[in-house]
Amino acid sequence: MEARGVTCRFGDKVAVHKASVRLFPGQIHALVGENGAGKSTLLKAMAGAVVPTEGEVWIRGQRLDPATPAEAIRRGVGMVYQHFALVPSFTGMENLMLGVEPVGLLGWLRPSVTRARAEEIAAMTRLRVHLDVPAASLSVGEQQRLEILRVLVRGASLLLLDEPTAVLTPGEAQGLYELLRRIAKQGAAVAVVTHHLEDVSRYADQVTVLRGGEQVFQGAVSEVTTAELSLRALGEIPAVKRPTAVGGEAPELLVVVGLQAEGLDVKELRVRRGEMVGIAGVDGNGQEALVEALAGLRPARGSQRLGGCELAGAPPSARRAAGLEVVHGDRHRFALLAGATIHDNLVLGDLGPDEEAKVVRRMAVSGLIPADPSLQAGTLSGGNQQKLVMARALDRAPRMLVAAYPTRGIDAAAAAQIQQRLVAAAEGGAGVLLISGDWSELRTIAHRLLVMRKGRVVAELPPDVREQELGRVMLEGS
Amino acid sequence: MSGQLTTFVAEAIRMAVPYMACGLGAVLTERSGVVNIGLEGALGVSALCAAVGAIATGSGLVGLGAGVSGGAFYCLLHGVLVVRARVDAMVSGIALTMAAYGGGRVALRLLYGSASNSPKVPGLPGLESTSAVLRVVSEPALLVFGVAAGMLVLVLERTRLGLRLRASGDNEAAAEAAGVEVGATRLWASVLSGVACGLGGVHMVFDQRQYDAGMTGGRGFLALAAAILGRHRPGATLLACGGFAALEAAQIAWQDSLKLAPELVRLLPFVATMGLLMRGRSGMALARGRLWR
Amino acid sequence: MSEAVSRPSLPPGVRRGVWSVVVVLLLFDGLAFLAGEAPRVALLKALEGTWGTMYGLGQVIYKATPLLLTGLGFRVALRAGLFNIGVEGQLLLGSFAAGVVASRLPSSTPWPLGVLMSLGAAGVGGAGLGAVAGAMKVKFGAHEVIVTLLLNRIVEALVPYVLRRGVGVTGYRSGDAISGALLPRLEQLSEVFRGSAASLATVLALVVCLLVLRWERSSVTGREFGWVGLGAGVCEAQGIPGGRRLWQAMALSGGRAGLGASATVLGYKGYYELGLGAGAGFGGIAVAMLGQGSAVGLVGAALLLGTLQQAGLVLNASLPREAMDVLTAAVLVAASAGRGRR
Repeated sequence: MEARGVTCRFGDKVAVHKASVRLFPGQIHALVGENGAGKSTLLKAMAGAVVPTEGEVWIRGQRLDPATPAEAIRRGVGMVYQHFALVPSFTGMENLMLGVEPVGLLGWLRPSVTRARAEEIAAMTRLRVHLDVPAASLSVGEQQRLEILRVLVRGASLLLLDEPTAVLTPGEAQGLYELLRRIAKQGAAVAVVTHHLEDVSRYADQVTVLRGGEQVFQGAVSEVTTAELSLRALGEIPAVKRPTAVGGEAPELLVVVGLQAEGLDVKELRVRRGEMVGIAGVDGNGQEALVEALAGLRPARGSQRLGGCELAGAPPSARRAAGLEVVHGDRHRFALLAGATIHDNLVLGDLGPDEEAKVVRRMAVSGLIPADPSLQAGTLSGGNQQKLVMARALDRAPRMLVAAYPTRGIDAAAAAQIQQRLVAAAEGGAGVLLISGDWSELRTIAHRLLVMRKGRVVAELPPDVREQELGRVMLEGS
Repeated sequence: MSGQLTTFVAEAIRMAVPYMACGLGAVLTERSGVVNIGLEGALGVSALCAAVGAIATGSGLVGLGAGVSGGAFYCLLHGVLVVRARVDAMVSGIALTMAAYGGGRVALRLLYGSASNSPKVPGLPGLESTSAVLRVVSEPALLVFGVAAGMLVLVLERTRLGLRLRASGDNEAAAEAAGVEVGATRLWASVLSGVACGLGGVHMVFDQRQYDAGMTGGRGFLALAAAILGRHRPGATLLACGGFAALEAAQIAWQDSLKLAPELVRLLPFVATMGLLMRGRSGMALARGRLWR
Repeated sequence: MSEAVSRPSLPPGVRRGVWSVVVVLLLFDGLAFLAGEAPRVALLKALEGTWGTMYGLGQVIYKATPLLLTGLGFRVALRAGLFNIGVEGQLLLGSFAAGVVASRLPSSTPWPLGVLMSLGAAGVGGAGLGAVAGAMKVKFGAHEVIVTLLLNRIVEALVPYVLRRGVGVTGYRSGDAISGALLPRLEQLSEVFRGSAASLATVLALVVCLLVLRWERSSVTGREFGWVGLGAGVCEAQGIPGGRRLWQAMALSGGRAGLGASATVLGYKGYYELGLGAGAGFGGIAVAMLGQGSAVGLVGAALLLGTLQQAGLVLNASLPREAMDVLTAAVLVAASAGRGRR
């Protein structure tokens, strides 16, 4: 398979510019780059899910035409998306069949045909998935294996995976790469989008580096070191320093005791003034519940005191009045009205007589470009949306800031700016609770790490803990 | 069996058909991601078409065909408006119900010169029997509906179309990624739902041997509620429909011995549904699919 | 919308209006043809009976008034993201309440007071029904569409029952309103409207329309309604009471729909009778969808549908007036094409 000079434009934004990639059977090819570098777009173009503005995709010496997912699937391309494309209520079997149903008379389904094929593949690749329960009840890793099994059942010999390890722990990621290696050995070509540069050196054969849509490097993995890759992919990023350490005499600000809610059971959680506490854990282990409970959006039992003021049962507005500000991870669900203007979003929740002044001030702090508050917030990039939300939260001068995944899905420069804001807030005397899926972020700026698993805080670790150790605790508890 | 009990059983079975037809129609269309609050109109349109077809030709079979086609066309029109013309599903549903109601009156005036009802409709012959229950059960339109309902449920749960239909409603993006043409699937679902409702309309007309403008009486709306209470599962939805029919039948069977005014008794299913909706967040089931969040 | 950008000749609202009128004319011709009338003759007759005479124009204005109010009612809920199909039932209950209160007030009640009390009853009646639906949504998560459909049926059955049980003078109407509760007809102000049913209610509706639109744009609560419609969860998380705004929007919606009684009960008949104003609720949905957020658009849409209704009466001898329901439905669909939620 080959992509020749692929350029993808969305409006006047160039996502990928003249990229060329060749995939060979038996090899794993890594596409790396920071968020927004265009690696996912390039992958989608190869799967027919995005039509390139210029350039062509060739499969086994023939041009992909028409450039549609259906045609790509027919030619043996199998794409595993970042957000799994499974129907949650369907069983594994139903998901395997969907779109390529083996049928008898009058469209009658014959699951046994698909099952036989699935078992054959499972035997060859040692890929095991429970096929008779709804996909929604599978763990994230199992869902991913189901997706891979699905593309294989469809006869894919070109396997494209978009950020497959983003949702996995290090151990699971290793298992995934071993599986991909076995699949490649059966004669498939595999392409993986990732931003874990260590994984590239460890598991891939070929690597393509994208930066701002430009292809800046391509070659065998053996030719480059991880450090070189990093420089090429990310460039120089200003280092963010941890806030100054707080002593034991700093007064406790947030004291949570016996917090219980749906999916949450936290015995104790304390944050001091000026302290940055990190929450680590595999996604979906109660972080969401913790943030929602602290925000007053999820009914919870137990005590939540902020500077001596009991917040249990208080609505979001009362919590804000007490000095608590929450920056939610799911922007579109909790933080931003995509259909309203930037102006309205900047004053959402504290609309008052000083509206104009607030908008001007927050606009300046956010550093949004273009600086036009009458634009719809939905037209902003993810990074700019996050800057807007952050500027609004910090302008309210909170005593305690809870930030959930504040840098998720945004580019490295914007992420560094947001991390800098968090550090500045802590140095200004606020307590910060940082929930993040980015371990290096947590290890860089938090004073201490709390590990969450199945809704509980299972361990407290120092920020300089080894990555493997952190991963082990996240999976096993202690 | 006592007279009242016999009446109750016979009436319950009779009344169940329009409810179940629309309930099944609601399940089929909503599971595909197209909410149709105009099933009341589908019932009315198919009843009218059945009456017109049967009167014009004198043949019950033609009436049956016309009724089912009318219902299918009505629901397909809704599907096309929602899927292709991107009209809000709620707007289209309410507009088509209005049009069906107005159109029914217009047709009655123009065709039969009457403001409210049609002449006698030749139906299909059932069994002549002294037993009311047997007479009701042997009504050919009911038998046709019974067979069709079974087949539609099988289509939904055991065939390719059904699988794709459920996928389209449950996770549109996933269905598209798997190569399912979601729009076309939804149009097929609309047609199936129209066929189901159509059989309900045909039954009402054949059973009463005439069409009148108000004969649907809100049953299509209640069937929507039944689908919500049944969480859009065919079995549970049909059961809820049966419950509504039983309420209605009880009111007919025991109306003399009841002290309540008939208007209030007729409200029972509506009030009961309101009560049931208070039970939990079941109402949100109507929100499935991306067309109506 | 992208087309509107490349062809800047007409704003989308105007194009939608023109498009709706075209659809109406085509369908009208078709229906007239089916009814055995020459389309041109029927159209001329309809135009003469509506905009051709001052009397006809008065009738159009009379018909348009409740439509404008129900349209405003539907709109406030829609802005908050709710689809209030209950405007029909809310108008009915409001009209009934106005009829009963206007007839039961002591006959010595002075003029503006009687009107205000009757209007208040209409508003409270509609708002109460809307609030029930809103509470069902917020408290139990029951979808407002299904709840309002059920409430419509319940009110439609209850009102005749209550009338029959002695609240009305006969089984189908309330007592006559006292003179202090009546809104004067326009014909009392100007000779040109002689015989028509238009009343001061129209002026009231216009004032309400302008005030409401202004309030939506400039007040904190009014703006918050719109935000809740864009994302109730976001608002809740940002400290705006989303749930409370939702049921308030439903109550306001019902209240405005209920005010539609001003034109029919207080401005024209002087009593409530079964069926008075029926259909104006569903028509209001079309007015809101067609008129969008501008006063001109809403009034224009109400006049268009009012014209249709009056034309239906004019032509009733040859073309059944229910044919206009079909036309209203067509306008509704034409006005909403391409705007479905994604």
